[in-house]
Amino acid sequence: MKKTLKIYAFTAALLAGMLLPASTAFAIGEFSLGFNAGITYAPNNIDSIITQYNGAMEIYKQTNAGAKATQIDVPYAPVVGVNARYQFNFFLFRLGCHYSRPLFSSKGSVTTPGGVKNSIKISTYQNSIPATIGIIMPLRKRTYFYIGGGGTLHQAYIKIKQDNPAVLGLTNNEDVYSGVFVAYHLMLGAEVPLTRKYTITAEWIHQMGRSLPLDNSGDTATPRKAINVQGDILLFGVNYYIHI
Amino acid sequence: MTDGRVLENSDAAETITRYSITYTGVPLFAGLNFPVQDIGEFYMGGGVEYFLAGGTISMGAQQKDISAMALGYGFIAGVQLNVTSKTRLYMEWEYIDARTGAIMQTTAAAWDNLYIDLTGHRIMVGFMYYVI
Amino acid sequence: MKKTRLTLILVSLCVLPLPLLGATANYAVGFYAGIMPSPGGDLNSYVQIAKYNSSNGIDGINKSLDGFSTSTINRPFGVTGGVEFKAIFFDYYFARVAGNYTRSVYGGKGKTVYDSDPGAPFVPELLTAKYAITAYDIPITVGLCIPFWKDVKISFSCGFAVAYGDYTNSFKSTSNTDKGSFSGWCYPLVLMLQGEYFLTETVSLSSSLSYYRGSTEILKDSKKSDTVDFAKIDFSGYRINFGMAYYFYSI
Repeated sequence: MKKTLKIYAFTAALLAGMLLPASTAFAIGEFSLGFNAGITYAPNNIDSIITQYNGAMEIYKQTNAGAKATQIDVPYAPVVGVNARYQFNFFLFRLGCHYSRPLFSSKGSVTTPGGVKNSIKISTYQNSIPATIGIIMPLRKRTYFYIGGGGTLHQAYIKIKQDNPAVLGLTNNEDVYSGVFVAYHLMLGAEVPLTRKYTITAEWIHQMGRSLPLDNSGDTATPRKAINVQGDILLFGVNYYIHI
Repeated sequence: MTDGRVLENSDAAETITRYSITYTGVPLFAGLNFPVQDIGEFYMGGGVEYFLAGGTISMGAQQKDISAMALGYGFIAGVQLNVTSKTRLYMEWEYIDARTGAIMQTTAAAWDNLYIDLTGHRIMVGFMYYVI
Repeated sequence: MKKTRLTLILVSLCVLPLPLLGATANYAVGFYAGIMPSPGGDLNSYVQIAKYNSSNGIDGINKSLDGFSTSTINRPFGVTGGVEFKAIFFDYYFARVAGNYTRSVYGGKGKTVYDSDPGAPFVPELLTAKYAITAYDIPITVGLCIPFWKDVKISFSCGFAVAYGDYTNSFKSTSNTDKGSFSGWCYPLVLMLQGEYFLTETVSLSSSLSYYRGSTEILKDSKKSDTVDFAKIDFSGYRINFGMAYYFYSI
């Protein structure tokens, strides 16, 4: 209880301190809506799953003369989204909604010396709603550099599909993990004007966090697995300022 | 300070059920400062951080106190905004990569195997008062 | 196939900026040097899982036991450096190509214990482990650049790198010796933040923070005299660099 009170008191003092400069600097804030597009790599950390399968396939090939393996490529993934921002004084409040999914599923296969082929296909997507509080370094009107952090609501999904899992000593033809959970992020960004009402932005978001272990909703409830969303995204965007 | 309950160990051999770890870090960074007229400044640097960590690890009914130290490497990037002539509001992103050596036995094997991973990102916000 | 892909990428990159040459543009060349914490990530490999009781590479290899003089095997600390060419179009748009060299210079070696007889009974043995990594890469990024008057420029950019790496490990004990050597390349994601402070109208001091994410496919050990090992070379991680740049035209 005491600890909670201390946290509230500290947060209140910090917020009061942050709002203090409001009386001395700029006037009322600005509101904008934007569209973002960018890139990330191996959303939901599927590279660690891919490494496990690639390792297992290569070891199978090594220990079974005549076996063949085609490793699974780790995908780049486009990220698209929208955001609403309110800039007040030195402060930025941003609420985003981003969706990321590799353009193509990651595929690989391992074939036994007898010709039995196990094709593996891994697909994934991630929805995220990051809420950011940051501070901005204003240069001119709508020309800023900013840094911030906050919480993110993630919806993450991973599906692993195999033809003949027994080749790798596995049992499930399909493993599916899906979860909604809260995590965190950090953000660095910059904004410059394009026209009087439009600006362009570049934002670097570092995501942190993982789900609790999730039930497998594929063939069987096991193995359970947590989804790790740690990773970095670079987003470019166009924002439209709304007069309020 | 970090406190957690282990719901499921990813390694079946592990026996940890609860942990509580506190650490103190002493960072030292060197870098470049980019002053932006009378608005404030933007800065970036690299450096080291020395960690002293301690805490309690529970394995069922058994509890053990631990202590460890580690040296890490990383970076810092942040902005400072002038609030008054001597006070600045700042927010910075710090990343440090650091792990301790093996400090405690948590599996059936006879050796100490547990290490503390202090690697991570931190974001800090606060006020800086310039004395000089 | 990979060579063809690489050639296509490099040719496109040379051709892409051509239409912009006639536009309002400034160009710069620079050099820089810096650090990279834990190059190569956890440096995991199959031999470490199968023989040396570590499922997460260099992180899990550390063990200590009474009666054995062990020393912590830390992840390597790397240094990095390179040269860059960058172009700024219409004041705000930024493109950069560079050449980097990164290598581990400190850490990555020490002594630990392992069970030399994986079945019962428990036979602990002292093990000397060494890890080293070297990487070369050509990052190509595009993004936004914000000039803060004539003093400072801050730029964000993203793209990918053509990266080649060499990773070696060795494990020596009384009853086992294993050495691994792996070489391979891939296209990691590159995100970059760069700040520049102008000393004159054409010379700037710079600092940059870059993030790489990506690894090669699983590679087979090229040393054939011992247990065959498999590993990937992980280029992921953060790099911080400091340097100087010279602009062809006054900013």
